[in-house]
Amino acid sequence: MKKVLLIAAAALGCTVIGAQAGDFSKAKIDVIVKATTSQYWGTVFDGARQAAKDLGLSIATLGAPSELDVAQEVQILENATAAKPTGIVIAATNAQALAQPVDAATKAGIPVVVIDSDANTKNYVTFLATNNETGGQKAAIEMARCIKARTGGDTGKVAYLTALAGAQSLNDRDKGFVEQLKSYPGLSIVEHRVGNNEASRALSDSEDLLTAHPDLVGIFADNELEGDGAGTAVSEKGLGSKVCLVAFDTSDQEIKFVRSGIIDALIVQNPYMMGYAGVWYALAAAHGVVFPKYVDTGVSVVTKDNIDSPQMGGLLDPKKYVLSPFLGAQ
Amino acid sequence: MGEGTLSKAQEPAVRVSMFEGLRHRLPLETYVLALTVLVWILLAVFSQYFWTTGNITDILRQVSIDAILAFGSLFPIVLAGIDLSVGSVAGLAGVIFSMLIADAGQGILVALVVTVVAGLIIGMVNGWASERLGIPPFIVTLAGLQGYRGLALLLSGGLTIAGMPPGLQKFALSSVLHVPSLFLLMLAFGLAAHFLLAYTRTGRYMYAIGSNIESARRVGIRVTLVVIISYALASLYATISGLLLVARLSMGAPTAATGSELAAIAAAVVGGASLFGGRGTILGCFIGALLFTTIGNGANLLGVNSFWQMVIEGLLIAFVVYFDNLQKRRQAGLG
Amino acid sequence: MAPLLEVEGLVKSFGPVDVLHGVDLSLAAGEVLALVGDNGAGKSTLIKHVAGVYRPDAGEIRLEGQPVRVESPGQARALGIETVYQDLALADELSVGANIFLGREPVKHLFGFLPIIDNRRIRTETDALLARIESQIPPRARSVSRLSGGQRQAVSIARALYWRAKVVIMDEPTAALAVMEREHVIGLARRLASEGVGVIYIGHNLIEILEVADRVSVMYRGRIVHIAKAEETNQQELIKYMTGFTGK
Repeated sequence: MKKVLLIAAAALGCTVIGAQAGDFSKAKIDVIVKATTSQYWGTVFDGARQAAKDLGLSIATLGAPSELDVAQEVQILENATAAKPTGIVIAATNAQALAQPVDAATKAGIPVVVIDSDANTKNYVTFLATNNETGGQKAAIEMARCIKARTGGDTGKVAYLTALAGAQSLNDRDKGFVEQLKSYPGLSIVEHRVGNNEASRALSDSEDLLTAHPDLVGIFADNELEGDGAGTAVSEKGLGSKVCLVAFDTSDQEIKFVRSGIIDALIVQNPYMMGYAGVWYALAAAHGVVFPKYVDTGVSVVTKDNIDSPQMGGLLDPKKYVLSPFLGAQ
Repeated sequence: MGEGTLSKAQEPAVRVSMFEGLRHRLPLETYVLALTVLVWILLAVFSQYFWTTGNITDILRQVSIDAILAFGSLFPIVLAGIDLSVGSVAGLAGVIFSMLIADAGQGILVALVVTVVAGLIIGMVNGWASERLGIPPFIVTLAGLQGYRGLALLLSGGLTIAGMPPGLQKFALSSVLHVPSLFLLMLAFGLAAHFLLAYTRTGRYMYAIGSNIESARRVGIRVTLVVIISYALASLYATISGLLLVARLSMGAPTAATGSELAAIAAAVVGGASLFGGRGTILGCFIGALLFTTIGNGANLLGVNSFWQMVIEGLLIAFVVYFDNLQKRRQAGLG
Repeated sequence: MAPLLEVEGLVKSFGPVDVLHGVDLSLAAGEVLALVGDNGAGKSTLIKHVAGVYRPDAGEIRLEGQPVRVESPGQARALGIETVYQDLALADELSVGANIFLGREPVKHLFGFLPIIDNRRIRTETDALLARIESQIPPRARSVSRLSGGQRQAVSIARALYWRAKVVIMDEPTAALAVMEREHVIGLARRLASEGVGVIYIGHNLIEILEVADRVSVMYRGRIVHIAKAEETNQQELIKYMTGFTGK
């Protein structure tokens, strides 16, 4: 039902825009991400660039270098608002801090599409995101499945690694993971470490976890840098066949770890589509199209078995992606 | 007090000097080392996994890269300067090195030489700007902290760089007679730095400049040269630690070593270095780095909340600096 | 034989302000020459020319009869001119020995090629030197920051003595010292002179000046207005010249 609504909305946008095709060379859309430093956000930019190319408009790719720098993102958004672009696509690093500036941009008549992480306001066009909690739940399901396959049972100790304190999307992933894991009474969470979004810290933390709990059967790493670090630790200790490692996102390193059996499952979002559809939606909204307040871009699970399948090709390598603004249609 | 000493006969004065000598032979490093050993004993008691070969190997590997960064940051601290850019330089070095290998198809040796030269140039510019242009080193290297990180992000497009030759990580994980190669490498760089500071004229002039730059000038020391050497060494050591991070994780990350300049400075200070210059040893830096690594490892083993771990580290810095000041005041009162 | 140090016709202006109007001075080996005068009379400016800090607009400095250009403190040192400053001379965190040898450390070669500081030699020479000047300085003090003001001055003076300085300039060496320590520093100044060093001694305390000096020169507004042997003058006379109330 939701899906139908989405397709309808998008199709409406498509017709409106289609009627005026070729008129967008003066349109400019600012795409503001949380951190310009991760592959994930780079993929969002790639999607946005592709949309810009398809629609013949121009975009600016903006963002602070670090997810820690909330203040800088606020400033970037305020500056963008002042310059009155056709539309703004933004991922909110902090829901509360970005609420007021997003309000202000909307009041200034600029359509704002929020992607990936929500801002604490409803004054925007739409929120286009992975449901991070669902992603966390899927991670727990994958972990239970992996443990079952390894040990034949469903008991054991599990730990999880949070990349950074205070980020809404990470909190949601962790929450989904922890809640879902409760449905497996045999699996207990014995440890939780919070890093500083840095692979070498994640490596040290994981090494120590594996030392402190020799009987650990599972680790969940909630973003790509944590996944890189945890993967390195598991591989160093030669525990690839013993510890079930489930991680978020898809860095080159993580994909290598999936192929070599170190990482058992990757929870993959669709950042390319967020960028691509974000630009589309912003432009459509500037032409009066109304969207539902929330659009789920979905998560997929990548394992060694399906990593080379054509469906995953697009998620792992955006160049192979079949593009469509019709979310949920692919 | 001075009057009394002068009016006394020779013999008691000598006794005073022996007493002073004894106190001097117990510098801050001794207490910090004792504290570290105490933490080790406590951890061995409270965690059955602490005193295992695997865990000790992990600690030795974990401390190595941090300690090298701390060694480098000691040189400017001895000068009463500071280098806030070491973390960013480490990140930039890792990016340059891994891009030369992965994107430009260069061999490890070429990549190594180019990266080290780039690191040295950065350090020389830092030293030159703070000495010749008279910009406070805090400002010069604050600019570097921001600028070099930005450069690392620009060059890499903000992405991690995979595709390192497997031999690199194999080296980072290798051991010689059960001692990790990384740790041996750290010892070698530590010994070189210790030798320079303790036994050469250049090292002594660093302490002299940090104690009293005016008097150093008046005895004809080439201050500018020594300052440039010192910042160049800070950058060189940062570059090395950046390269080792690449080897360890088998990838270059533009965000690598973010914030580690402060950890490096904290290790030096906890190890007895003074931010007012003239004081600090390589041994102290090593002990400081080891203490922080031990605390991190212990917190993980005992499952101490990550945020409490930060609070504990902060309290430790405050305590050590306070203790050091207390010692000095007490000695001044006696002296 | 020419005097040890001669200054002739020294002129110096800082922009529009004339500080020295043709100063003549001569110093013999083994003599303590005191330089007195009110603040701003030009004492510091004069000695900073000899110490290589300033360069003169006109005039000449001769050392043992030879005209010399003293263009930097390092050069002054190389010529044998040492300055004992009130407080700037020592590197606080270095030991007594390291300070005495600072900038001129003896070097030995490790494995025949690695140049390292010969710390043992510094220690033995320092011990001998401190014994020679009968100072009460603990020779192994790890840093001179623990020493009293008088002990620090003694280290500076010992340094000048060790390096066989020909001329030692002492710029208000007792200004910040306790009474007992003044005596010690004055003793060291006489000691330097007795070893053949020419000492220029700047001070404010006239009782002390008359005790330490062989001759006293008085500066007033950028000129030397009076020179007298210490035993042939007295405080009243010196004050008269220092304040310009000479009846002229």
